[in-house]
Amino acid sequence: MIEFKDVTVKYEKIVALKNASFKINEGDFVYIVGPNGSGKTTAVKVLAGLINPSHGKVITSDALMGYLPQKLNNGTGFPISVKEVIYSGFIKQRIKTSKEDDALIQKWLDKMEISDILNKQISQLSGGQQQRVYFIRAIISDPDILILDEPTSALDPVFREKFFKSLKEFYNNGEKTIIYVTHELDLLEGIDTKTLFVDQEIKYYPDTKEYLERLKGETNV
Amino acid sequence: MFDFLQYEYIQYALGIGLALGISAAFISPYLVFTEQALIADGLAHVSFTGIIIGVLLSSQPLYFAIPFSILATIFIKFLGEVKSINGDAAIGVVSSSALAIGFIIISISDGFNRSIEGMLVGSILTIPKSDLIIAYIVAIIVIVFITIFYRPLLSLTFDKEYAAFSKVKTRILSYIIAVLTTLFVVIGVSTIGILLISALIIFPSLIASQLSHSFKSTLIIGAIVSSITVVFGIILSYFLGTPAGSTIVVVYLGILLAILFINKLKKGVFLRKKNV
Repeated sequence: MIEFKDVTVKYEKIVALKNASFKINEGDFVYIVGPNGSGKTTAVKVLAGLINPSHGKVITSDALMGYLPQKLNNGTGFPISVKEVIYSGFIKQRIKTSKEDDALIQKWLDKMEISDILNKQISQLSGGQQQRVYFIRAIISDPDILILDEPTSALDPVFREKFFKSLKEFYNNGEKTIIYVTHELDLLEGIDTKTLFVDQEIKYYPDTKEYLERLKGETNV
Repeated sequence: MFDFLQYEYIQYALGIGLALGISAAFISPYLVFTEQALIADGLAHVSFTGIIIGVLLSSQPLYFAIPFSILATIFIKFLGEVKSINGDAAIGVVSSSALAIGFIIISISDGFNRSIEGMLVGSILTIPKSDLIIAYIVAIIVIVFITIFYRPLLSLTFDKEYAAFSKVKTRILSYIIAVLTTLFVVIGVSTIGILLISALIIFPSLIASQLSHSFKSTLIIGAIVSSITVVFGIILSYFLGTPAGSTIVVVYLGILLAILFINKLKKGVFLRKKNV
C-alpha cells in the first residue's frame, strides 16, 4: 500500500506537485496521466523514494519495488553489457552470477524478443532494445510493486502489443501492483484500472473509463 | 640484459610501480566513467602540501600527508554537496588553496630541504622500503574493497539514480572511493610526481574500454594493461635514462593511440566489407 498525504514538492521556487493526497492499494493497476511537465515523473520519484517531499507525508509498505525510469542511460562511453545492466536489478547480487539468475535473464530476453544481445554493450542497442532491457531490469527481481515511467515511448507499435501482453501476465489479475506513467493512455483490455490525473494537483479516478469520458467531454466542448 | 634487476632500488621501483598501477586500475573506472578523473589531479596538489608538512614535522612524511589529504578530500566531497558549488569548483577551491598554503610554508620555513622538482615529476628510484610496504597495504585495501562492493559500485557508477532506488549506500561508497583515491595519490605523488599521477588513474579505463564490452572485463583488462605499462615504463626509463613517471605516461599514450588507430582501421575495413 502507498499513501500520499498532502504531498507538495518544490524545486527551488517552482511547485512540481501540490497538496497531493491519494492511496494505491495492493493489486491496483494505476495509470498516472497528465500533460508534459505536469509533475508525473516527480510523483513517481517521490513514490520510489528518490525525492523527499517538501511538505506532507508518503507512507509505503515494505513491499519490493521495481522501477523503469523515463530517462534511460544509453551507456555512451560506458563499457557495460546488457547482462550487467539487468543483473543490477536483482536484490541479492553476487560477484559471479548463478546459473538460475542467468536462466531467468535469458527467459526474459526471449520474451522481449532480444534473445541474442546478452553480452552486447548497452550503447550498441537501439532505443527500443534499451527500453526492453531496462524493463527486464525492473521486473527481474519479481517485485510486488512495478513502477513504469513511459515504458513504451521507444517501442514500435507491433512490439508494444506484445509488451502489453507480458505486462498483463505479470500483473496476473491483481497479484502485483502496477503504477504506469504515460501521456498517451493505452488502455489494457480486461483489466480494471484506476487513474491519477496530475497537473501540479492530483485528481483521482477510481475507474479509468470515468477519466476517459470526462476527457472526451472536455474535447467535445 | 636483466642484470639491473639485482639492484635493490630497481626492485623497489618495480614493486611500488606494480602496486600503484594495480591500485590505479581498480579505482580508475569509478572516477573516469563518472567524469571525476581530474579529482586525482586536485588531490595531488593537496598531498603536495601534506607531504611538505610531513617533511617538516617528521622523518616519515606519509604519516602526516595521509591524514591531512584525507581530511582535505572529505572537505572537497562536502563542498561538492553544497547546492551552489559544483564538484569541479570544489576540487579547484581546495586543491589551489592547499597548493598555495604549501608554497607559503616552503617560503617561510628554513628547514625544507627537499627538491620541488623531484616532487613535481617524482623519484621512483629513491623510495624507501616503508613506502613500498604502505603502497602494498593500500593496493590490498583497494582490491578487497572493490571486490566486495563490486556490484553496488557498478550500480553507483553507471546509474546513480537507480542505485539510490536500489538502496545502495551511494554517499558512503563515493566517500570511500574518494578516500582510497587519496591514499593512492599521496603514495603516488612521491614516486610518479604531482604532475603525472592523474595519468595513472585516467589511462587504464580509457584504454580498457576501447577493448571491452563489459565493466568486468574493463576492470580486468585495465589492471593487466596498467601492470604491464608501469613495469615496462620503469625498465625503459632505466635504459633511456629518462624520468620513470614521464616514461610510463608516454608508454600509456603510445598504447592508447595504437588502439584507437587499430580500432579505426577495423571499423574502416568493416564498413568497406558491408558496402561490397
